[in-house]
Amino acid sequence: MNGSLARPPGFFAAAMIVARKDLRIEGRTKETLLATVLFALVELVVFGFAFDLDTIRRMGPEKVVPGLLWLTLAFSAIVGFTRSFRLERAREALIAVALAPIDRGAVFVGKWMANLALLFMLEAVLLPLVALFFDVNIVGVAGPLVLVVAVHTVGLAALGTLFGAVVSRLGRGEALLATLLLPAATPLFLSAVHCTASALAATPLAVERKWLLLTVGLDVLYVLVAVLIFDAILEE
Amino acid sequence: MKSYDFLFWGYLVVWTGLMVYFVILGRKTASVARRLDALEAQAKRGGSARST
Amino acid sequence: MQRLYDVLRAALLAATAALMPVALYLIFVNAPEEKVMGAVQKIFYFHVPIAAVTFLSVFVLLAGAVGYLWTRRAGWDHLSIASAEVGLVFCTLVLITGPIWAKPAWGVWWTWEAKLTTTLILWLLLAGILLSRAYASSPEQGARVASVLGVVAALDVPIIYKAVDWWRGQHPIVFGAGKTNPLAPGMMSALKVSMLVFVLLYALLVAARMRLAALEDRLAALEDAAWRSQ
Repeated sequence: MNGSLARPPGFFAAAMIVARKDLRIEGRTKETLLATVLFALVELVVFGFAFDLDTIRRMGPEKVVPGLLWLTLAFSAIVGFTRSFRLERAREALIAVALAPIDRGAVFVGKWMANLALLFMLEAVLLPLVALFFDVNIVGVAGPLVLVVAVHTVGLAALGTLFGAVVSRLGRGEALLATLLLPAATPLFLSAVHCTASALAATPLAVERKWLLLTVGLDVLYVLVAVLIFDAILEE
Repeated sequence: MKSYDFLFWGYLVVWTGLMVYFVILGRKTASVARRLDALEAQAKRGGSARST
Repeated sequence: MQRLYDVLRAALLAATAALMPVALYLIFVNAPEEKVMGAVQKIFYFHVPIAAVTFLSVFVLLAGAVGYLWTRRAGWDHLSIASAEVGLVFCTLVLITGPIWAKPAWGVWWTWEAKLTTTLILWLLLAGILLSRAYASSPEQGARVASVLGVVAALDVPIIYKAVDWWRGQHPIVFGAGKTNPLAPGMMSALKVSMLVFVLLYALLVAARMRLAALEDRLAALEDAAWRSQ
């Protein structure tokens, strides 16, 4: 192979390569996406039984639906994160990735982007379904709602990718992912539920400045820490 | 008086908790130390004493 | 070096043993009884120092984790695991003494106010970290995983506290929580001494746990060598 020994790709280029690879693998089988969407659907149904529509109407949907939405998202996302690293693990491809002459942090960014894309696709299906099952109007507040959900999903994806990587190195680690991720994601979760409730109630977003700024800050913090620390995870 | 009751339980919980942990640590340390001593004595007697 | 450690440990033990009766005297005999809550308020002299030590242990855990990731020396990991375990013990005690104080003070066993909730989440994080060590396939991997998790958890805790605090602001609680009356002088000295005693106790337990970790490491190495020389 007469490849020119060009310099290894720069940080973002490397990240994009990793992201594209992950998404391409996913695109072929669509395993992860299907698994997460199906799980989300099941969860919604279970919630439908747990809190019937009448009760929700009486209590006011804006009180229950945001929590319900994010609970479903959290657990479906966990299904997705576990699979993201299991992909590599099964084929020992993680070693290959780790040995590649690119910054380990770029691997994190790549996987984070791939997970984010998957989560966005999940949400595109989930939001209309929630609106349908629980009788909430999302069309009128679509803009702010999408923004709020997106901002929080970015952080969730970052934390999930980080913890997913850590847990995938442990034998039978999947059981631990939820236990580790959810407490750590508390600030994100609190903010997500609160801001989503606010968005659904058509409150102008500026009112939730405090929470939104916190979330953006958290997103940046989580990504930075993950990039710095990812080296230690990918070893051996 | 009710308040002294609660106080007693609280104090007891704290003390018991710490003491239990202390005892657990102590016993684990003792067992590890024992095994360590046994291994070291064995190593001194000569590793060649062990056959295949 | 070993000598020095032993001497330090003995000194620590002596100091703690000496201070404990002083603290107890100050708490139970010297400090005035609180007007509203009576004797049960005195659990505050345990609860507050134990909570403070819990958060100290998170700091130390962070230091150990970073130290290990930076230097890869086992000593840092020993500090890490010791502080995580001892921290978990103290955290459990906070979560037990908290409701014991809360019931007479506020009429409920539990409330989702910022400090209690954060402590509960911290408990879950610490338990998760210790659990993942158990799942690791080798001590070295366990150390790495626990260090990464430790860093993330330690950095997260203050953020969690702030977030829960803001969240509580949306749901005003009927009974006032947190700081109440200013402390009478007798109370202050009791609190200070009690604080010192518990910090010393923490140091003592961490030292003991670290020693256990070091011994376990040596045992594992020896057993490995013995097994290999077969």
